[in-house]
Amino acid sequence: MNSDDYRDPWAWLPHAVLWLGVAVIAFPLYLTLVASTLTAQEIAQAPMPILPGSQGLANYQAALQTGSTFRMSPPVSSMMWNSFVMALVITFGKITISIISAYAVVFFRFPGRMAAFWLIFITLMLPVEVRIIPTYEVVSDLGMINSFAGLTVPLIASATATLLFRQFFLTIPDEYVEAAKIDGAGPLRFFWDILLPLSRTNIAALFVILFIYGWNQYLWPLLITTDQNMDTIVLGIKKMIGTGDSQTEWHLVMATTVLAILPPVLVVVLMQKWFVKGLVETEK
Amino acid sequence: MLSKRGTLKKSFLSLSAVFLLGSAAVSPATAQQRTEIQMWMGLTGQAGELLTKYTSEFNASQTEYRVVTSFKGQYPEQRAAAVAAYRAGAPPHIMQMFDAGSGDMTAAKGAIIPVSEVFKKANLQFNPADFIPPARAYYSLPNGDMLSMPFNVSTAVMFYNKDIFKKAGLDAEKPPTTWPEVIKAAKTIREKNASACGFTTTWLAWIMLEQHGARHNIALGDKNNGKDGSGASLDLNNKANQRMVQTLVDMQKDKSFDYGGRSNDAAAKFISGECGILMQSSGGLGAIARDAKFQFGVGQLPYWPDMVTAGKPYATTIGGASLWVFNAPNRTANEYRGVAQFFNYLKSTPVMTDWAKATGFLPATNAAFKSMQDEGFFTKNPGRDVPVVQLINGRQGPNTGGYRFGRWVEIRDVYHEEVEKALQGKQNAAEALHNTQRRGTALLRAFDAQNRS
Amino acid sequence: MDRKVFFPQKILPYWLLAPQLIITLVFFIWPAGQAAYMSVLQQDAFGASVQFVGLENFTALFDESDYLESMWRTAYFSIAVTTLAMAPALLLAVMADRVVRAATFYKTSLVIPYAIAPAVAGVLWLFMFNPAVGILAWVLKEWGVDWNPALNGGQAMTLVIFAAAWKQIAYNFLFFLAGLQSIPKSLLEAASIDGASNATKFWTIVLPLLSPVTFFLLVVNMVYAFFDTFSVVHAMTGGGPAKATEILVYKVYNDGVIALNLGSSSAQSVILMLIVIALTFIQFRYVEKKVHY
Repeated sequence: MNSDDYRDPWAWLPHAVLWLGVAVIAFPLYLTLVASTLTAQEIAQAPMPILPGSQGLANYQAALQTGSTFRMSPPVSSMMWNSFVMALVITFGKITISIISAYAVVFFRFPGRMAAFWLIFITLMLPVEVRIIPTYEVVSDLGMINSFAGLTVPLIASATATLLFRQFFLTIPDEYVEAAKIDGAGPLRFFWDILLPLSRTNIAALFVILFIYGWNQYLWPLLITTDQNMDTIVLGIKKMIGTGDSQTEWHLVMATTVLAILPPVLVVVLMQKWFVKGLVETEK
Repeated sequence: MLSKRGTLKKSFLSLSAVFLLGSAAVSPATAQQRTEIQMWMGLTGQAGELLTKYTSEFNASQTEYRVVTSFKGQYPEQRAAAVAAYRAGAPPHIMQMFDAGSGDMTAAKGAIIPVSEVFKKANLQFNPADFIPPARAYYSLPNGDMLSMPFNVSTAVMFYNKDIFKKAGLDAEKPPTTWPEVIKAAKTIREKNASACGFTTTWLAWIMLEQHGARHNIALGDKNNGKDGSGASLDLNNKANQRMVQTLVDMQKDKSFDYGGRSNDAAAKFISGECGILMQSSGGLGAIARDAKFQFGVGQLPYWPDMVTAGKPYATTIGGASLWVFNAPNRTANEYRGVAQFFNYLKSTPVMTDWAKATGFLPATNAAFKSMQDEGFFTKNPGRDVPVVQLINGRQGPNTGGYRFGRWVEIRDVYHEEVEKALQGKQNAAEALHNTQRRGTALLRAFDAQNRS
Repeated sequence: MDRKVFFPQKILPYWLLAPQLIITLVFFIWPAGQAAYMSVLQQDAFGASVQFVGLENFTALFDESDYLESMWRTAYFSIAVTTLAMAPALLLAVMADRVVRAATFYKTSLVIPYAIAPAVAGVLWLFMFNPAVGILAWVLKEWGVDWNPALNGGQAMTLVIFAAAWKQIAYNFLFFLAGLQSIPKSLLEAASIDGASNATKFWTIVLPLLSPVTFFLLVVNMVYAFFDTFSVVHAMTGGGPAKATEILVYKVYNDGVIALNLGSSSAQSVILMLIVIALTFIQFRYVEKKVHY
């Protein structure tokens, strides 16, 4: 059902609401863009100009090439690569183990089933900041400090994804399962051929969210890695934000932030194209 | 359908490829034959960069050791990281800890090795007298040894907006030096409506409680302000502190004082021209110089003339951070020697001078200060000498050497909360300080209980 | 809620569950148990002197009225954030689902704010509302509001609620949209043919079919409001002024990481955990009954 199809007197309403939404939600993002084109002084004077300034090219060049005053930080490109790989691994990892766990919990009966689900689910209830010291000890005992595995594996157990899949799997009509059984298809074939394609929109949504989650990781990489070569882009940005009395070069921070947002933007756009298109083809 | 399965299979294959590639791409550089020394720091921006640069210069100057600098977050996160690493048996060799956290660092028996001892182990000379007196005093033990090495040092000063002063009819070349003068100037600014607010301050507890205490040689507690050992008591609820807070409360009513937050946020009020006077850390000069669109001046932190003799206030105390050395079960004497050599490098005059000139922190050693004086740095850069002069030439007294209480960060926040309540009109200054004393003492007692060995 | 038809295999499910369970046990349950154990200890930060103190850490919390006040504050905060984050997101998702022109633009613009790193997002909001230099602060002042969240607790709380909800709107929007787009068009078309209006279709078809996602988001948003809003408060107000924005999770982090009082922090997190478990349990028990699968 879309309003642009036929002569709907209310056709303008969704667009109006959406524009309002975009204005409110995306305003800070717009400000980031504007700030990335100003000088540091212009940002400090109140109020900050709303229209883009003229420093855009200079700022982005500085952020990409020199980035840091003394070139002691890793280049933006390598930090973005680290973030990218980490985010991708975490995303794929999380989606994979969550979807099979949810599958097990919903489509089977076995002793300890609900207990397993609650055990997984409870992990949402304890904030990471609190268990961070014991978790660090465990990772250290396993010799995973300063390693790529230590960076990603502890973050892969996601209760959110499992819960989402569980919700979705509960809505699958019984007829599908019965049909599969009649056809002699086992649970694995059912999973590959029927369930997975049906889960497409959920996987796409999760992909976006989890990728951004992995992309924005700050506290955990901070603790686990000491090698500068493993710095992520968010860590790089945080390093530029001075506290105390040191001056922050806000225009560079904003420019780097915009650069840091580009891969997630790409992910969002791609996910929409691939998966929504697929949905139009395969009607339920 | 088939193509979809194919795509999924392909995705799984590419996942594994990405994983392997990723592991290779982001695996840390292999260690070299040199002994590695780990240093964790909390500096960001240009300052952090500069420290890293010194590290690589030190590495290039000799072949035995390699110091690796890591940014571990702002000081609280960094401290949590150090705690986690220590408990896991592998703390860094060196950690930079900010001033207020000093008390917590000394709590755990055996976790820290005093810097003086590190040098002794390394058979190298370490002379506390090299450091400017307030810095030396802050990190000293009762027997004269030093716990940690001061590196980035700042103190509190006053900035004022010359344009606003002129507009209010005040003498822009003669900044107020006492609190009554500041109050008068601020009120004049408001009366003439030269700006929306008279004065504001950053770092509320650091400036209004700690610096205020040092400036008038008032103790924060007993046992040499906690430096002599555990079991100290606080003494915050005195007339001096009450008057300071009450002054703020009274002035908030007509915005001759306008509160701007607990940490650095209020600086923006000054830079944007909203407030005419700012109490701030000396390190804030850089941002002001860069971003302010008006003429500004620097003055010493004001004092109450009725609390010091003959218009000679005491020195203020330092802020910033120092470098601490961790103990670890498998540390060798060789590693400690590396630490000592690195420290020697950092406190050498060329490095200290370069550091102070570039970052806006103060020279932490007497030699560096003298070197900057000799080359005329302060005449070429007016305003940069105010904090140093205030620290070095100010009267030294038993209470200008800083303090060392456990959980001081929390106690500062208690002060913040109580003063905020007073500013909101919910209580008066006496109650605010009474509560601060009560709650602060409870925290200190709990800290001592926690650290009973 | 269980399926009626399922597969008979008994061993396969264990294999499917194994990866997540193992990682959960090793990296969550075990450290969480240790963290919970720390709640009955009193120790210094470095673990050198450790004492067993029973429930002292817990009782100490309730001695001062602060903790209970913080609970009420957190309840208010969570409800406000959850509502503010879910309702507009649903509205926007419904609208976005209906348009074809510029659809990608809308969807991208509405999801991307979620991609801004929390560290930077907090700073941005401070920027916009900073009494001295913020654009929106300037707008508020033009409207006559005496804007100073550093001093005014109510303003600080409002600011923090909006900042926290803002981040979640993008998140909720994405999932609502995904949910809407998986509703079979054929159902809606059939209803149109039967003469149902947009409103009727929404209430009788869309909303019930959306309820699994809504339930998911309700749980997730609530957990977010309780746990993940720490960074927003930390960046913007530090719990102030005068504790006006000190929510429970902020206290946990503050006491544990900043003050290094591991005993009290662990005790608080145990309590927090129990509260959220209870709330989630209630949700699963009673609210899920209304969910249409």
